[in-house]
Amino acid sequence: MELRVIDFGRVSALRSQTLWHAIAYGVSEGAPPTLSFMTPATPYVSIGLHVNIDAVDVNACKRAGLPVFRRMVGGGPVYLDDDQLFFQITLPDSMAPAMRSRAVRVLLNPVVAAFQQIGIDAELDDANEIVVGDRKICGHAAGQIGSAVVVVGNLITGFNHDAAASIASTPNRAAAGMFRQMLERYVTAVDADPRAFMEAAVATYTEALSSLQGEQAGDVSYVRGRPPFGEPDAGDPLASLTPYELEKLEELDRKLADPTFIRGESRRTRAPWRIKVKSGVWVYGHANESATAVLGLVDDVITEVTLVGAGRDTEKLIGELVGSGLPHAADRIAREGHMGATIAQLVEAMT
Amino acid sequence: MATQNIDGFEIRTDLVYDVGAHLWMNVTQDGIISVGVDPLGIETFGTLAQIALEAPPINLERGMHFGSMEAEKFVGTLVSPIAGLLTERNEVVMADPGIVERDPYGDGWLIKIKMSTDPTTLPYLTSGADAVIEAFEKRVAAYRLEGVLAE
Repeated sequence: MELRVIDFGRVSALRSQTLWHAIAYGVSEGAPPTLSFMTPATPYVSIGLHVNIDAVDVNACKRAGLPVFRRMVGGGPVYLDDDQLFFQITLPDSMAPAMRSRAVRVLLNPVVAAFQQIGIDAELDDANEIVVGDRKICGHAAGQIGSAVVVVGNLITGFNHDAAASIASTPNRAAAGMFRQMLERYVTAVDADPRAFMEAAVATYTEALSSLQGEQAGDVSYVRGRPPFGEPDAGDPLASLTPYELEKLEELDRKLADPTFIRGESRRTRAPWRIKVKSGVWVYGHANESATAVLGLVDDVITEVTLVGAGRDTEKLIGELVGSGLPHAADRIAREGHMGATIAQLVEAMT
Repeated sequence: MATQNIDGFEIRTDLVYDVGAHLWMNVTQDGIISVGVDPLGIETFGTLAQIALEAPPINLERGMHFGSMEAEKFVGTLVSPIAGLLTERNEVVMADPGIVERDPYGDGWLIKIKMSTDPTTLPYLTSGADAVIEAFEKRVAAYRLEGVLAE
């Protein structure tokens, strides 16, 4: 089994997306399975294919000078910067397990093994999230592009929680504050050497893909990149792309920067407002003319409550809500006349 | 409406299928063909979070992208099993993808295509109760062998 490894080094924000999309099209047309790496020179925001642009605070992004790019794989809005090393594994669809959740798991397991090899106590949880304990350490997304399957993710060596929280569209300050707080609690960077991670990932993916094919590990063509993680005198990694991939790269440079593509189709948003912190961890918010209620949930259990303008005895109610599941909360609120409709509406919508 | 339980999957045997793509087709009226995802495809894809469908009208070729589905951060492409004019998309499933899982052959349809050819005559599609049952039995058995489906 041949594996092509390309370290693109530091690239523009746009190219940190278009390069791996171009590789996916190349693999669709016969290029070998490819493990690629790059880091963006400047920060930006990436949104999944189906994400409503309204989920991003576009004005805040503009003020911060953060471009927004839509990717052709899944997941939500994410803040990306040069404290993150992106990796992508791309292989023909025929090589990947047909059950998609299993395909993602099979293709994330080598990343977990790479983390472990460099001394990070990482695990892949039941929701396919890479965690240390209960904290997410690696974002991921996946999809089929052409007839290739690609799984992307990042090694986070520094995480700017303020910036990551600021790009999300939130209905009020209470919701923004809770989102920021829960990001801090549940998403973290790791103290890791990106170069060591890359070397480990090359080894673990070589083994995993060979096993997937039932073959011995074969040739690994490793195109080492330029700084920050490669060598100053390394050749141009673009030279390792096929002519078709280079053609697609130019096309994708235009497509992924096209405002119409970035804006996407307007989709009906769910009520109530909610935002995902990590798998199983959500912030929900609801407000009416008299009060605002924001709930943080972990595995369907309320862990955080913010009530603004909710009347008397707020502390007592918060104390009773924290630790309860939604059915209990709905029942408890039904007996709480003075709370008004706000939190009752929120819980009703959530349940 | 004829259905057959094939190893746990309720499969309509009176429809035309692109078995590999997990799509069914139903000729409804005046050459209009509704297209949806079969139960086996839904099982392999996972709990649907999003569905996007191209807006009509579009002239589709067989194999041409007409939409995408997302489950657990994985985006899969939907490609047309036949050539024809995309005349309608199901806006309801775009707002609530769960309908596809709850009612794959009914309200969970995805698109409608106007086509001048009878799809039962196309050699790359599967139709007729016996052929449909045989194709799904083979596909389910292969998936179980590969560990795609639980025993």
